[in-house]
Amino acid sequence: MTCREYHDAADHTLGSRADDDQTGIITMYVGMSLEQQEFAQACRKLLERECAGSVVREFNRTPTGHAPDVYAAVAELGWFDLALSTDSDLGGLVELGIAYRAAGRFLPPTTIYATIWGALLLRASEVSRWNDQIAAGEIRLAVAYAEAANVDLTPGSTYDVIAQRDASGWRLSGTKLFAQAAHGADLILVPARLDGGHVGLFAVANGLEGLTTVPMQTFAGDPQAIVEMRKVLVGDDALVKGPLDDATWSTWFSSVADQACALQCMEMLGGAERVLDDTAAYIRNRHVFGRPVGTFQAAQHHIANMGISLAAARVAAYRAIDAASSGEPAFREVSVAKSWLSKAYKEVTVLAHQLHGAIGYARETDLHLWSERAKTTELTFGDRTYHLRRIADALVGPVADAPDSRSGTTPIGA
Amino acid sequence: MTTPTESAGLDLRLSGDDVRWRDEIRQFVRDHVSDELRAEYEREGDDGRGSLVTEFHRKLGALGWNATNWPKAYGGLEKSALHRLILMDELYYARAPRLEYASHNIAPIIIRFGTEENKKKWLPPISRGEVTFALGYSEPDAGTDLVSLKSTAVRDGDEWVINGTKIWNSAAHVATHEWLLVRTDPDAPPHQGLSIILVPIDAQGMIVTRIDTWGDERTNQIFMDDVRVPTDHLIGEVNGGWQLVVGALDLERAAIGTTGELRRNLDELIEWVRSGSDGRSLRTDPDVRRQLAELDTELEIANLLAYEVASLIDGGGIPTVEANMQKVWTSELRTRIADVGMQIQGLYGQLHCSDPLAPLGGLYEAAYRWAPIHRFGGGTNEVLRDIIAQRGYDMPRVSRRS
Repeated sequence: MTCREYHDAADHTLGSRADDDQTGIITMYVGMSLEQQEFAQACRKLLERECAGSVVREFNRTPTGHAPDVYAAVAELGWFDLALSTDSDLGGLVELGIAYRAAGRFLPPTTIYATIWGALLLRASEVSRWNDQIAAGEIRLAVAYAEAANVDLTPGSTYDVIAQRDASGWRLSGTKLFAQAAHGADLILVPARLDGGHVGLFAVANGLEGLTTVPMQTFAGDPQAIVEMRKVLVGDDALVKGPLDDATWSTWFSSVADQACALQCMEMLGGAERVLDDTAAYIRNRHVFGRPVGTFQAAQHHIANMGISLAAARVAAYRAIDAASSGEPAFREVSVAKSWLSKAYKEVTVLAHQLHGAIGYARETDLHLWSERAKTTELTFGDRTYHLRRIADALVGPVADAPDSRSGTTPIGA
Repeated sequence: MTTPTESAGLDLRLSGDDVRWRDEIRQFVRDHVSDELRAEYEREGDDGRGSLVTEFHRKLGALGWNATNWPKAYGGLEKSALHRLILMDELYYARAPRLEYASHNIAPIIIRFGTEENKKKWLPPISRGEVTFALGYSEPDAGTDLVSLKSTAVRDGDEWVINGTKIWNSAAHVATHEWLLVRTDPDAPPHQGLSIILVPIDAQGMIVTRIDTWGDERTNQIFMDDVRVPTDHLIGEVNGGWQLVVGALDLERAAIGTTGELRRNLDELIEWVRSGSDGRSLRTDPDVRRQLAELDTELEIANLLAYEVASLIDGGGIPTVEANMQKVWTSELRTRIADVGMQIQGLYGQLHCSDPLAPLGGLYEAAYRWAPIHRFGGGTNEVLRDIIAQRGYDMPRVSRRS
């Protein structure tokens, strides 16, 4: 293991909270190569340019939550290619994680993340027919897995959405919920139960007869949708993975979900770091009682606690993305990271509100955008409870009957 | 030193080299760390070191493992910080005796800051285990505010004459020498008038009095009344003592980072729950499961943070901020582990190790009593938070002295 010092000279300005000093905060990247550092910097420069606060407000709370310019810019930088290829020049999942950490600082449209999640599933299914279009940013993906009776990211396969064999293919029926970016996506990936208790993953073109997407009103304004299917007819080639038996499906789907979860952990890390950096800058400059807020020990200790929390988040997130890129089961590393990040990102935003006082509470200064993103990411891809249960199952063995309706969390690959 | 990572991908995993080193230590543990050794070490008290513990340190010395961080020119192995961390993690997981403070913490300071005469005189007996140290820093009115200490050393011919008192001077009852921080120039600014002088604990005028602590470890107060030592007992330059202290504290904090003992404690608790030793069904209790999972993840993170600190040291840095963060995290986690462990054990958690019904031999109640020192020792966590904020996030430095 080696380390390199990475001096971050980026401006921390967002919205009307101008910061006139170059802070040069040192961020330690354990073992990061020069190429990775350069890629990180390129991602940040791009997003700084394309995704300022005003841009975020434009696409937030719209039905599709999409911003074509930002989306196209990251496509050009190769983000989708990283998710699709097994031998991209840029690298692999780790590099994508580095991109996510940069992204977290700027809150780009979540349509980007939704496409990458779908792309990971297509790669794991070894289905490449849409690769060129996805990589070019011409096709947007969404993954619709959650259902009313099964909102958790569960390895279980008791889906209510079914796929029935038809003369010309399959007919999908049922309702999926909380499908990120489905409204406006070109292709929606839908796990469904087949006859005989098997499970398959279907790639369903949006706009087919019988399929409707209904935007859900989320508190963070990110575009999640209900996907309703009434005997939607898809061809044989729409089945991109499966049919698999229950156990095989669980293992397979969990392994890809762990990759997407690890990516989200990196995004959460980046978002929390942005909040901490901006908060530190704010209290260095804001004066009370004739001196900076940052001279008071209570304020310094808030900053220290945020910093400690994010040091923990950093090593956990990097360990997770590293493990998830290895091809081996990574459920423990991912659950350690996600359970911690679910707590840390949100707590950093709570303390940030404390240190900003009223000015951080005004919508126009944007802090709430990160607070909302922190809460959203806390809950998606498994909340703290879900991931702690996965860890507990591995530590002391699973419980045969779950005490409530939340589904069991059989450790995959334990 | 491990080779730099030039290819894509981070390297938070152990390299083949690291794994071989770790396995070598595990084999040593299998061969040389017996239950009898552990029991003798646990019983160590006023009688000093027993024969098995002495033999254990001799074996470490024979392998050079008591001088892993010494330069090769001084007979050391020049092992990386990561490899030293692995050594401590593995030995402490096995509940082996702790590594010698003198050779691991003090000798590197002498090597770095001492004169050539210092090194010639003191390194050989330290490496042979003939010279051991008690850390003579704190005084009754100078702990966190160490630099205000009052013990003095005055030059008289070819001797230093030392007067004063030191407290929380653990190991004074078993060590051969004090590593003593004294004021040698009362007129200089406080941190520019201090020196490190080595003082034999059996010197004339030195009195050691016992203090019992809540965590069962004995500590001491020493009183020095015209204690005389030759001038070659000064380490480094006169009035240059403070930089030795600062350097030592950073290293000490990095050493506190080892998680081997905590991992062993937690693994024993997890196994106790998993195997149903409690006679009830803690294993299926959702609160117990969640608590164990929380502790397990936070301990994993403590381990990763320690690895990061080690890698930063190996990269040539002095990772003050990261080491302080790791120390705060791990010391507070230690308290949580002990606290939660006793809760999980319920009424049985109250039982002292002398009670036959005490779970895990009373490990957790002892751990609970031992936990506080880690939060205030080696730099109290409140001061470390100040340092983290000021050096890590550019918060304004505020003078503590009024």
